[in-house]
Amino acid sequence: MPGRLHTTVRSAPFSLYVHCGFMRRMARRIDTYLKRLVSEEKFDFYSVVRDFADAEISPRILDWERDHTLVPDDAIAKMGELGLFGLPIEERYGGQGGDHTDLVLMGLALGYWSHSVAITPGAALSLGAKPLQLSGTEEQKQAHLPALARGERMFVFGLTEPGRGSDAANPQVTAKKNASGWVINGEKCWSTNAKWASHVIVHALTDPDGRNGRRSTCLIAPMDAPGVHYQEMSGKRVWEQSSTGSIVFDNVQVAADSLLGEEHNGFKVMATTLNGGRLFIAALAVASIAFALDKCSTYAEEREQFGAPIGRFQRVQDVIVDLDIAVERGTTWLMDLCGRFDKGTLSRESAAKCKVDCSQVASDLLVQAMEVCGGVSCLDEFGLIRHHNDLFVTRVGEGSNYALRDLIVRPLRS
Amino acid sequence: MEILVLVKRVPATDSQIKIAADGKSYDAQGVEFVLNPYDEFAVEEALKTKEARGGTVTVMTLGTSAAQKDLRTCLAMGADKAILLTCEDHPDSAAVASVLAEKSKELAPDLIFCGKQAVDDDAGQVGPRVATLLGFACATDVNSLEIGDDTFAATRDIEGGRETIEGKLPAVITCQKGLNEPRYPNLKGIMAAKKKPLDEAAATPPDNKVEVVALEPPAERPAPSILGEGAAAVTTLIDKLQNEAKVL
Ligand SMILES: Cc1cc2nc3c(=O)[nH]c(=O)nc-3n(C[C@H](O)[C@H](O)[C@H](O)COP(=O)(O)OP(=O)(O)OC[C@H]3O[C@@H](n4cnc5c(N)ncnc54)[C@H](O)[C@@H]3O)c2cc1C
Repeated sequence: MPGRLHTTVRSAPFSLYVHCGFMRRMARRIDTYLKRLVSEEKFDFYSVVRDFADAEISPRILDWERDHTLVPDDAIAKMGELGLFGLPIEERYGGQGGDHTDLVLMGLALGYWSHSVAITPGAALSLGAKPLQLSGTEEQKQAHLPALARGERMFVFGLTEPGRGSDAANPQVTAKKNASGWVINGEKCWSTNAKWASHVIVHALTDPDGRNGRRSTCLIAPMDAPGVHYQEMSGKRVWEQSSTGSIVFDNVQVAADSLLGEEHNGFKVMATTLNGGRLFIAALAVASIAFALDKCSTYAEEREQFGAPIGRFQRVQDVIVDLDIAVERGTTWLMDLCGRFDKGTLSRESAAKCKVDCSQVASDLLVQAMEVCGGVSCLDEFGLIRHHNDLFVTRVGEGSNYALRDLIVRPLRS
Repeated sequence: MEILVLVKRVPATDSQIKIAADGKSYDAQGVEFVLNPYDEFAVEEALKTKEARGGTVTVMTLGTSAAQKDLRTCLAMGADKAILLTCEDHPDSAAVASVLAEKSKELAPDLIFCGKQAVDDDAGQVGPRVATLLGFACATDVNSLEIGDDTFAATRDIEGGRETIEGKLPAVITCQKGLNEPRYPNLKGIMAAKKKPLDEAAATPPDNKVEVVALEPPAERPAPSILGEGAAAVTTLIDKLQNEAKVL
């Protein structure tokens, strides 16, 4: 008869193990696949973030949801202590010197409980710091990366506007050159992390007569510059703990050295950044089905109907198997593409395909996972409804799946 | 300041433990092992002491070579070096303390930290025994600590209150929950840990003085019963609490 050692049960209060991160509520099936795919060092790192999420995030997420609060400052500070905000920033700028695989592993570990929590450092790095790492001058990197790595500053990716979503190459926000630099006017929206941001990377129209893709310029604007107005977007029922803001620019003067990348070639800065960002979004989708797989397979063993566990019904097993296939396939695909992103050989189409497919498969499967668990799936504390809602963002965020198909088809046309 | 931390690899507290066929040990097959949770407080306190007063932190364990993993965790948290004394048997507390004390002499530590107990056998003997063998001062179950140049002040919870004791270094401190919040290793720490020294040497513990003769799982809990509803159930409940559970 399996049981616990008498001594172990008695020895220490439950809270100790929760605190130490030793009381893992559910064994994660995804770990089996990741262990095979990544080096021991990387898996150790993933395990630390996973244990952190189990101990510090999972017990609190329901309260945050019910109170409709954003990720609280102390949770952000704890992620900062763990070094997450400096994860893929080079060591010479005070970062952890990790790569995109590490970032995606962080997404898998945190996204298992909450996309909102995962996207906070996720967007800060894959959308905020990345353009600076890819296109910044040495002076710009020295000026910002150390503070970003310490979590003291945060950059927002200002691409989307009220009138410019999928057609992002042609912004309505404008930047006009003057003697002291640039003057920005217009509005950005759907800006993740706006609440905590120190700066926003503004993608602005600078050459309306240029050819498509060569009309815009990226500028780094401080959030506290006169004329910058931020407002949290209200009524958002997805990624509820993540800050999403609208940012208005009213004759905002920025210095000449705020130019990021080349003049009139700003869309390139945004587009190359998005390749990595899309892998992070795909990771959130995979994290959701990893959660659904564990939840569903445990529940199917426990829940009895017609005198036996519901897991004996083949229809239920089919869903569990499909979830398992999606987790193994998603992790394998992601790890391969992250390797290519780090080598600089990842094509835009490959990144887009992975995001499109992982997000679609995950959100379709999640509904089925909810169905095999039944009514309990409707309860917030069961966790599936959160992933159900959050997965919708993975279908439209960082490129709507339908619009991305236009990009994917290009090499297939003669 | 030379700081030593004694740690142990134990089964994770959420593992399902099966008693082995001999009835005296448990079956390690399929059990996940982790660093003893109380030892995490010890490592954290050592690191904090080093950060405040300088010095080196060495972590040491007696165990199988699988304990390398737990020592690496300590190194990733920030310890400087690790010593693994390997042995395949199950030495008792006296034997473990004798091996650890012997090796400690070589390091001449000013401070030794360890968990207040290991959560597998809960013996809680190693710290005080090592202190005795080395002739060090010892404070157990410590949940607040101040270190001076060559003194310490340790506070511990006692029945109905708190006790503060002071003493001179060198000392052994056994760590209780509440002493600190153990840090999580970060990526840089994990990578740096691979390059830090981890010395392995075979140990020959003295013969055991005690022997485990039986190991039993806890008794199965009886199925719960519903006594009734509302005010009508109160008399039955009080009767059961008084006469069956004997808690009133
Ligand atoms: C929670 C959240 C966070 C976000 N964070 C950020 C951020 O930090 N920074 C940022 O810049 N943006 C951010 N976004 C914006 C996101 O990138 C956009 O929502 C996305 O690019 C789509 O734009 P849109 O919503 O305006 O849709 P639209 O462009 O208006 O498209 C609407 C729909 O039209 C269809 N469609 C459009 N174009 C095509 C086409 N070519 N082919 C076929 N169908 C098409 C699709 O069905 C599409 O879903 C965020 C969005 C959300 C929801």
